[in-house]
This record gives sequence, structure tokens and C-alpha cells, in this order.
Amino acid sequence: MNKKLLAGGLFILAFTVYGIFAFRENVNPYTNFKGAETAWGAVQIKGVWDQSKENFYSAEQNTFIFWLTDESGETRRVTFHGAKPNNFEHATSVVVKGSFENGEFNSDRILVKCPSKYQSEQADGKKFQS
Amino acid sequence: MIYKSIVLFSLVSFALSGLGYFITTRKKEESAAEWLAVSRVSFAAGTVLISAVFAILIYLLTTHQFQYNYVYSYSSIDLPVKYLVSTFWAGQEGSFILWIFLLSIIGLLVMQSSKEYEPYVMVSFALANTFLISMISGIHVGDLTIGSSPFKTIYEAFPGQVPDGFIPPDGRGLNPLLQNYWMTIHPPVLFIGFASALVPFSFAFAALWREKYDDWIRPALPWTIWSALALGTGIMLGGYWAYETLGWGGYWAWDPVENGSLVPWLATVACIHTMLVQRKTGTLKRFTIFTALFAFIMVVYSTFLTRSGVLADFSVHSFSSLGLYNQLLLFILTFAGMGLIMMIYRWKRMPAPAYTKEIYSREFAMIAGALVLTLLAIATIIGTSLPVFSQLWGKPITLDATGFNTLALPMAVVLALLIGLGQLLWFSKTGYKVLVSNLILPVTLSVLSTGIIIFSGARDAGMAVLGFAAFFAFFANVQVLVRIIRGNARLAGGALAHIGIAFLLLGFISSGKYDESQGYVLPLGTKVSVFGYDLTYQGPAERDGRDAFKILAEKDGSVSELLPIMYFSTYSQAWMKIPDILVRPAYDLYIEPVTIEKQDTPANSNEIQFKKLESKQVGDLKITFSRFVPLSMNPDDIKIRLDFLVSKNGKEDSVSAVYAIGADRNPRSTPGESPSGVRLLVKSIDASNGLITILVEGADLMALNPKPESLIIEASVKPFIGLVWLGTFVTLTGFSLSIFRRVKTQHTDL
Repeated sequence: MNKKLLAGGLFILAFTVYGIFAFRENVNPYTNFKGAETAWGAVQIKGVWDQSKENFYSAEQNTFIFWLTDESGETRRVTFHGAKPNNFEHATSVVVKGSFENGEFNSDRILVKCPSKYQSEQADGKKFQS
Repeated sequence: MIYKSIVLFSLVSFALSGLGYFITTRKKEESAAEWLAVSRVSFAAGTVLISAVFAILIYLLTTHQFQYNYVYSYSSIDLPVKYLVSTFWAGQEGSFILWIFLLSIIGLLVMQSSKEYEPYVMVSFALANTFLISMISGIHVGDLTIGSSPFKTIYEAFPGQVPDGFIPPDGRGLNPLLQNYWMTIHPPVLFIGFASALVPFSFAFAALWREKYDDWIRPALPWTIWSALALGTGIMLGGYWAYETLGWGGYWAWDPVENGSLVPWLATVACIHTMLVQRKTGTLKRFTIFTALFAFIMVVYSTFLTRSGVLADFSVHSFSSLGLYNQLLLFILTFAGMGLIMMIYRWKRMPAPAYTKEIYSREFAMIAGALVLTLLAIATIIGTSLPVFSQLWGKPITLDATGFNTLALPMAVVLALLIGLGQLLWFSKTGYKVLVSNLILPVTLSVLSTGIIIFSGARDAGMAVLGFAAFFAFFANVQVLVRIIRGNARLAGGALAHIGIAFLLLGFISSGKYDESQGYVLPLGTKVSVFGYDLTYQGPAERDGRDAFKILAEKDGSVSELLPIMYFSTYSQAWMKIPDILVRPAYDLYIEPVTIEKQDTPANSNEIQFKKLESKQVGDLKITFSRFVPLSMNPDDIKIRLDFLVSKNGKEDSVSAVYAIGADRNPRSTPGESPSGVRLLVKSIDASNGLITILVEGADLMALNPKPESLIIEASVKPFIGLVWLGTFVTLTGFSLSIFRRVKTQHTDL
């Protein structure tokens, strides 16, 4: 019994170590562009789309390029590897996940924060609209 | 008001029932019987009342009583009946009612069948219902409102903004993403799973309470399998909905809401295995109780994560906050606390008989499997909670899908190997030699199959290993299944469920790791080669009453029609896109519309507006307005020269036109002419915004040669994604067979 317990304990220990390793490799801290430049690995940046600057989607390369103003007010160009997300125009803010490569922020995931999700905004906004 | 009172009465009934059941456990004989009767009647009364609440909300929704905020927020007159049903659980309050209703029904069934366990088990049910009803009570205690009532009126919800008694003519309607039949059935199925997960919890808690650690398993086991079946079905429906409707190309994204149903499922499946081992060997009592408690605690914890608003910034689709944070926190702390504290309290006194079987026994594989499932569940929930807890000491961090996949990969390999080994050991009671002879065929076949997938492109080492393990699980279980069917076919549930898991893993490998995705431009009427298909965009069309695009897909002489949807939703104030999928045996061709580029409107007028420094294409000309040159600013004789650059066939000329306003205030305009015969005449100047309007002569408007209308799509090929659906279906069939068998026999030997 003790040997089996030991084996089980060792297995749990091995998995815990592996789990910590997997977590460390793949966590994405929230930061801004400044923090992203020095960060190791992918980060997430919350910001607002700067619509005054150019944005375009290239179907051939399947990239969407736009400018994002992060929470500290810095505006940088973002290359998103994918189509322009649904509801991008109506997002109150967007979170881009990615990292800097040669001075250009490359993103592989965008989380679009819309005023309404499953629920209408009645709960947060308390605005009646018909 | 009366509706809210019914909610309150049901709250009181369940609270009373819980208290009564608790007292029952402390009393003896006659007194206990009286309290038992009171508790039963209270529980039944609570159930009747909550059923009434259920019926009332349906009534309000179907009769469009828009003075109620819930009805107003989620439904509208034009909604078809099938989606009117979905509005019931479109919001938090309605889905709470559904959950309470299901808990009450299951509670009644358990009450009927749990015999001497009844008061101990029903305390958990009454308590859970009391908590859940408090979420929808909407009671005011001073400035504090407890819960959010589904029967809140518009004028209560928006005080001061609308007059008392105001009835909006129509509601806001249902989120178009939820207007889908998968979404009609997905929530109720999932909630059946959530509700049934309380059965093993309540029995495990009762076992600790009574210090009887064996006979609770018999009544709890069929419910546990049932819970796993319902949760599994719910997860699959949600995944299929995401794949078919959301258009992000996948069925699983490790989103908190998804993990919130996966983790209870993993725990429940672990619990089934530990229960079976305990029944067979009498060991593992602590672990079984832990998994049973853990599964429901995870149900409540996921509810907390997704409904309290703590993850609102990190999940694509969690509910927004209704201010239930404190109540939900209390709910999870109560259930986690009562389960874990009771377990710690009893720990020393719980019998832990030594495990005497060999390492190569079926039970050992099951224990190891349950351990792996539990660890995976714990790791997943830690990963999901990371943003919540990391926030406590700084900027939040999240774990991305790669992290979850990395975490799950070795677990999946171990599980698949155990699934194969464990099942083979069923027939290897005689020992090591028989096991080896049973291993020969499945191992050989797995090596061959793995070779084939490596040859066909699965070069990633991790995927090859997982592939081998999954093939092994598959062949071993088929071998077992064949023997079972020859013998007692009623026992086929386990083997089937495991074959389904093997399919699922193979489907994850092929569709998750080896899918390809690419953006394409499809000009109207032009063939474009996409992943071996000739796609031709044929113009606008309609699907399910929504705007769609018609695309013909040709390959080897066969033609199919694809109709991806893209329409503007006034509800969401956004473009909604729904992919279309060409399902083939070996792969899915998945077409998602990205955007439509309309044909440039041909300049049917040669009257063009310019701002300073602006360039415009006019037919075959490119005209740039370079500057104003004031020639005279005398108020009675204003004269301005306007300089343009006109480029035609690559040759650039500068052209100057003059615009003048004399003492009579009538503008006079002198055209400018280029050597190539282009004349520009200034029609008007708007000094307020710097806009000028000119007439262009000599432009060949027909030469505009506009870009044709083009549909831009993202196309992807997902190899063998059908294995995912087939796998879930087979697994769920296996679960169903097992429930059937266990309910029928209610006692069994393995």
C-alpha cells in the first residue's frame, strides 16, 4: 500500500511541476505597449481602436492592421493575424494578445468588449432605451 | 407584487424544509416522523410554488407583458415561438428559475427513493434551493436588495426614466446569437447536469454525516452517470453551437464558461470510476467522497465565476453582473465549506482499508484514471481562476488556450493508455500472461495506425504519442466490446463510452492541430481555387430569413451550394456572421464571411467635391486639388485661383481654374484646361469647411473600370472533425446504456 501511495504521490508531484511549467510558459499578463516591449512572451493589452488612423484587412495574408491606444494613452500599430473581428466597430474596448516582433506588435487573438453580451446593458448601464 | 410573493413563499418553504430535515436527523422515533412529514410537505410546497413561478414567467413571455423588465429585455413580438422558449433562459434570472425547478423535481425523486438517507440528503437540496431562490427574490432589506427579481417592472428597473405603469410597445428582442435551436436546448440540458450533480454531493455529505461510507453509492451511482451524461450532452451542444454559429472556427476555446461545465464533468466522471472501484474492492472511500463533493462544488464555483461578473473582462461570453457577487460568494463558500470541513472533521475516523489488488488489475487502472481526471479538473479550474486571483496582487494574468492544451496533453495520453489497459485487464484476472496476449493485437494495430497518421503528416511528436494512445484505447476497447457483445451485451456501456473517448481524442488531434485556414477574395462570378475546391461567389442570397452570400463549390464535377450569412443586427448594433460548412467524410470545409467589398459606385456625375490636398479618381483621371491662390481679396472683387494636378494615362498636368465674386455677389468662374483637353470648372466654394465643388469635362467615366464586387472569406479545412461529434455521441450512448443497466439492476458486480 505504501509503495502505491508513494507512486501516486510522485505522480501528483510530477504533474504539479509540469502544471506550473505549463502555466509559466503560457500565462499572458495584462500590460501596455511599453510593458509589452520588454515582456518575455505574449501579453495582453487593453485599449481603444484609434479610428483616425488607417486600418485595413488583407485577404491574401489574412491580416488585419489597425492602431490601438492603450490605457496609458500610447497609440501603436497592431498586426492581427486573422480577419477583422465581428463587432469591432462597436467595441467599447478591445484586448489584443500578442507580442512585439521587430518593433511591430503582432497579435493572434483579439477579445472584443461590446456593451452588450448575453445580457443587455440594462444591468450595468441603467439606461432605458426602446 | 403577487408574483414576487410566490417567489418569497417558495424561499420560505425550502428554508423550512431544510430546517425540518435537519431537526429530523436530531430527533428520535415519533418526533422525527412528525418533523419528517413537515419537511416533506414544505419541500413539495416549495416545488409547487417554484413551478408556479416557472409557469408565470412563461405566461408573461408568451403574452408579451413588456411592462416586466425581463420580458422587455429578452423578447419581442416578432420572435417565433421556438425562440420565445429560449428567452426564458436568456437571462440570469430565468436560468436560475430553470435550475431551481430542476433541482426541485430531482429533489422530489430523491426524496421518494432515498429511504433512511432522506433527511440527510434532502438538507443539501433544501439548502441549495434556498440559496438559488434568494438570487431571484428581489427583497429589499433597507438599502440592500437581495437577488434580482424576474418580475421587476420597467418602472422599477428605470426609476425616474419612465412613468409608473409604463408598458413599452415592444421588447428589445433576443440576442440573435441565441436565436438558434442548439441554444434552445443547450441550457436546459446543462442545467439538468448541474442539478443532478447535487445528488452525489448530498449522498456523500450524508455518508460523512452518518459515518456510513458504503451504502450511499448504490443510490447515488445512476444519478452520477446521469449527471455526466447530461453535462456531456450540454457541453457538446454548446461546442457544436459555437462551431456552427459563432464563426470563430472552433468548438472549444477553453473559455471560462466552457471550462465551467467541463470541470464538473471531469469530476463527475472521476467520481463514477471511484464509486465503481469502491463497490468492487471496498477501498477508496475517502477519494470517492472527495470526488462526489468536488463535482458539485465545481458546479457552484463555475456559477460564481460566470455570473458574479468577476470574469466579465476575460470571457467572451459570461453573463454581465447583476450585483449577485456577495450572494454567489456565500453560496460557494457554504457548499465548499460544508463539504470540505465535514470531510476534514471525519478524515481520521474514515475507514481506509488497504488496497490489495495487483498493479495490473482493472481497478488500479480505474483509480489511476480517476486521479488523472481529478488533477486535470483541478488544474483547469486553477487556470480558469487565474485572472481572478492574480488581480488580488497586481495586474491580472490569464492562461491562454496553448497553456490549457499543454496541460491537457500528457493527461490525455495517460488517460487513453489507462482506458485501453484497464478494459483489457477486465479479462485478465488470471494475470500477467493473459494480459500480454491480449495486448498483442491492439498494440500492433495502434503502431500501424500511428505510422499511417505520421506518414500522412502528423509529424508533431506530442500528437503522434497522443495518436498512439488514442488508437490503443480504441482497438483495446473494440476487442473488449466484441467479447462483451458475444456474452452479455448489457455490459457494453463502458466499452462504448471509452471507444467514444478514443474517437474524441483522435478528432481533437486532426481538427485541432491539423486544420488549415486562409483568407480569400472571391470576385463576383470568378472561380477561385480554395483548398482543392473551385469557389464561385454568385451574389447575395437568403438563408433562414437572413442575408447571406451564395457560393458554389465545385470539385470533381460535383457542385454544392454554400450560404454563409452576414447581416446587420439592430439588436447588437453589429454585423453578425454565421459560417456555412461543407461536410465531407474526411473533413469539413468551413467558410466564414469576412466582409463584402461592393462595386465602387460609378461616377454617374462629373460633379466632384474636394478638400484641400485631396485626390480623387474620376473616370480615367486622377485629380488632386493642390491649393488656393488668392489673386484679389478686395471685398468687391474677390478672385481666387485654384490649382489642380490632373493625371491621365500616367501624364501629369497642372490646371488652374479661377473663381471670382464681384460687387454684385454673383460668382463667375473661369475654367482651366489641360493640354489633353480636360476642363475643370469651379462651381462653388464653401469657405466654412474648405470644400469645393468642381465640374469635370473630358473624363472618360466609362473607363472607371471599377473593381468588381468581391466577397472576402476565411476558409478552413478541418480534417476528420466528424470524429469529435461521433466520439461524443458514442460516449453518451455508452453512458446511457450504463444508466439503464444500473437502474435496472440497482446492484451489480463488475
